[in-house]
Amino acid sequence: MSPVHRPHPLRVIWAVGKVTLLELVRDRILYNSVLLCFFLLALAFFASRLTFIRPERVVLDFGLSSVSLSCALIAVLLGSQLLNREFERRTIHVALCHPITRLEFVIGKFVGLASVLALNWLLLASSYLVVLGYSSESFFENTSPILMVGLVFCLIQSLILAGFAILFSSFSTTALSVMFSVGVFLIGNNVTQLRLVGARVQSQVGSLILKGASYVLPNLESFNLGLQVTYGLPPDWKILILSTLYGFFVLTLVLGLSGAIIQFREV
Amino acid sequence: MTIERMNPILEISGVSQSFRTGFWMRKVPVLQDVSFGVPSRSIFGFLGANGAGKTTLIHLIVGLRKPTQGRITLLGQDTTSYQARAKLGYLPERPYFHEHLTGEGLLKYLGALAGLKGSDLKSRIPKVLSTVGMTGAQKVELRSYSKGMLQRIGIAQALLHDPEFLVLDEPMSGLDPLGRKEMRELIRVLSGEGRTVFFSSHVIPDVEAICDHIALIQKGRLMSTGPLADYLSKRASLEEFFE
Repeated sequence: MSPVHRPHPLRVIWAVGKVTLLELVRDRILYNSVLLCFFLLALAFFASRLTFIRPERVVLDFGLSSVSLSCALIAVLLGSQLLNREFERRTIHVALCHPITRLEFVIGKFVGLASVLALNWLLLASSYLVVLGYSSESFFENTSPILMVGLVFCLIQSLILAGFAILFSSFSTTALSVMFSVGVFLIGNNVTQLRLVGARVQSQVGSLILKGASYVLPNLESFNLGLQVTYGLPPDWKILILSTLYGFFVLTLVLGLSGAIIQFREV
Repeated sequence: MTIERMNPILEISGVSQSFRTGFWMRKVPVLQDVSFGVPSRSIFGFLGANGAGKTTLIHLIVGLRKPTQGRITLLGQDTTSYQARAKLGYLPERPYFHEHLTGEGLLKYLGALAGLKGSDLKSRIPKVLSTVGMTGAQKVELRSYSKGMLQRIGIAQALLHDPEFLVLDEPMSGLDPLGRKEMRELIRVLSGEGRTVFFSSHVIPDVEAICDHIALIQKGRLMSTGPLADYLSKRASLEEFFE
């Protein structure tokens, strides 16, 4: 019998991620979300033809929202079923009886989903830029640095959502995970509104709850640059870098928490 | 036979397991104070009716769960440790694998999780496929495998890292008579290579045909354990112990 050592964590994450990627590219949800985005991009293009003043703004705003929505949909719908599918089909049994940790397994699953999100984002962002180019007088007229950052932030936002979807699926059903993740997406993109409501609410308890929620839940507004992109505002690099670091901090936190919860879950 | 006298590779001492179920999270005992040892290089049959607690104990042996009480050690190490898990191969009751993978893809994936890499992994894959008689099907997706082929690829993945201890949960369930015969032969071959094979079954003739040691479990309690020959010298068949 040959001596076998504990595999390097990166090799485990790579192996699990690769299998997850191969599994997810066969999922119909992925293609439906991509099709929805293409439909919205086409709609934006035709809507811009009906506008007389600054038609490219319609494509800029509508297109960025389409990319963001498609990435978020994929992150939530695929992320919510990622772990539960392993439990339901019991494919997790043969993986976890090997000398690996459950955290490595969870991170591997996330890496697989993140690869799918990155590939989808690359396809949609390129299509968006092509549509934008066609609706402008010159191809690069609207491709400002803030637009590029806005697109990258769509990806970061979807990665955070994927992390949350995995976290929720580590302790609840797929349907509940989808609901919780959609909640995080909606509240996270309206944190300022939540704080405003919290300040105006008469009840002290209600105000405390709303304010507390606005600080505990992730602030996804930091990754929504729609306004800056539409009006071509110059990027504030310091804030953008801080937002990126914040995004990766939140992601590390939720994945660590998912790993800790999975550790105690019955398989 | 006591655990001390037979040089066991696996020792199960005072293991109890309970699950919490229902709205009030009521504790339901599944295994109660189970203790026995598995002699090294034996074919050990773990026999019990459906729902007796066989798969639960197997999950504890392969480190998927921790027992509520008691301890399980493989070669002196706790079965939840990496060292113990690296020394065992496991075939689940129904081989649930990712259907989109090919036979070879599955072996590459699980080989990586077992710590194999590069040339070691590449050289092991054809060897284990040849052992289980699956050389021709390595490029076929698992979704088109028959039940027998899934059992075989399941054994191939369990053998990949050349483990000393093999745990096979109901390896013959769902197989036709020819498939059962081939599986019995395969288990004998694996034992002949110096491995300890621990397999669970609720089919008495399967156990009688290939095992040299057995343990009988009923409603979560160990009824008895020992060499098969001792049982057969007292009764004509193991069936009589369940009557």
